[in-house]
Amino acid sequence: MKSFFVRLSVLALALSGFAASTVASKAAPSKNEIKPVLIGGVGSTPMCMPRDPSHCGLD
Amino acid sequence: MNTKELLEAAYFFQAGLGLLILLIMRARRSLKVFPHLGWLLAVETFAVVANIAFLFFRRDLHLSRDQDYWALFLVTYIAHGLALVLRVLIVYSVFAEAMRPLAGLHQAGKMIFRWVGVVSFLVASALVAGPGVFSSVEALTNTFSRLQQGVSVLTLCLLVFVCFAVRPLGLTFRSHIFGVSLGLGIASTVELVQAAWIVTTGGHSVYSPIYLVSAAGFCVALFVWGTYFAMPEPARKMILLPTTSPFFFWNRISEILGDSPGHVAVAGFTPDMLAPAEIEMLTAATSTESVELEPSPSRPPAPAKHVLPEIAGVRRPQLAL
Repeated sequence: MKSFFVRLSVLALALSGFAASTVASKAAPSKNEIKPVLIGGVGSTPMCMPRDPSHCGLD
Repeated sequence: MNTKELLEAAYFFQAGLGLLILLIMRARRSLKVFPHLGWLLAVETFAVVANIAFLFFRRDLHLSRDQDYWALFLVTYIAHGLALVLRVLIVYSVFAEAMRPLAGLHQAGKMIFRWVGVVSFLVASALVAGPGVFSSVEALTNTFSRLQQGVSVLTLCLLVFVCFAVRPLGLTFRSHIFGVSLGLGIASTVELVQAAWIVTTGGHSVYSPIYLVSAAGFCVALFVWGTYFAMPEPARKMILLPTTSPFFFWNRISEILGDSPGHVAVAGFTPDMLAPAEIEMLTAATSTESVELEPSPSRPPAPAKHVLPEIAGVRRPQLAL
């Protein structure tokens, strides 16, 4: 029973990831001229284009 | 506390947790089994420390906003380029470690992994190659993001495989292999959610709540790794597979694949091809068999297992010496 729940949780996690991947691949950047670019692993910082750091809210 | 302060606290917590897990792995000698995970944690922790410095202590570093931006850009990209390669190596090493007892499948899997890796890389390179791709920063960063998403999906596939093949491979849900896969899976899912979310206007600030959620998700992954490496790993169980198991079946096939087959001389064989010792041995064996096959009145016939099978219409070959 325990392993059933573990497998179910892992499957749910993987399915969420696959769903997010589909959304990410289909999602178009917003029409805003500032385009954020995802960088690196989780918890990392986005870069903003055009190269005006103030547009990224950089303090 | 506003989002920026919360993000600062989350980054500090993440960096501290990363260092703590590295120490736990070192103390438990897990770095020898998963060296790439150790390197990944070191690189990620370094990137987070750089993020803290450039995002929250710019004025203390006496950097202009542009200098700070480019320093952040370069450090983060280089660190996460390394992390990308390390994650592929972790996926490979986890797969190799999980499949170690099934030598045939291990070998076949490694071969398939390499081929798929090379072909995917070539196809992906051909698809993204075009004018301006390698000359503009925007296109490069987009390509990099796509690569990251591909690696995340690959990691999730590994997690699903390990989860459902845990028993046939002699593992349990407390095995470090499963723990490493689970942590990577959580990190990958959070990263994919971040990738889907970042295109919204909410992701246009470096202090966006998106990164708070991502940092929290990565902390969960770190916590999973820490828990697994702090706990003693149960010994790998004996692998007992039914003869009808596909794992057993495909392992046997994979073991045989690639072996050079034996050869049978069908025609053109002459005794001159034999060495003198071979001729002597064959002569002795033939004469012994002849004696055994001839029934003797004083001796009962030999048990059936010592007699060569006589099949109707088939003569035993005799050497004409």
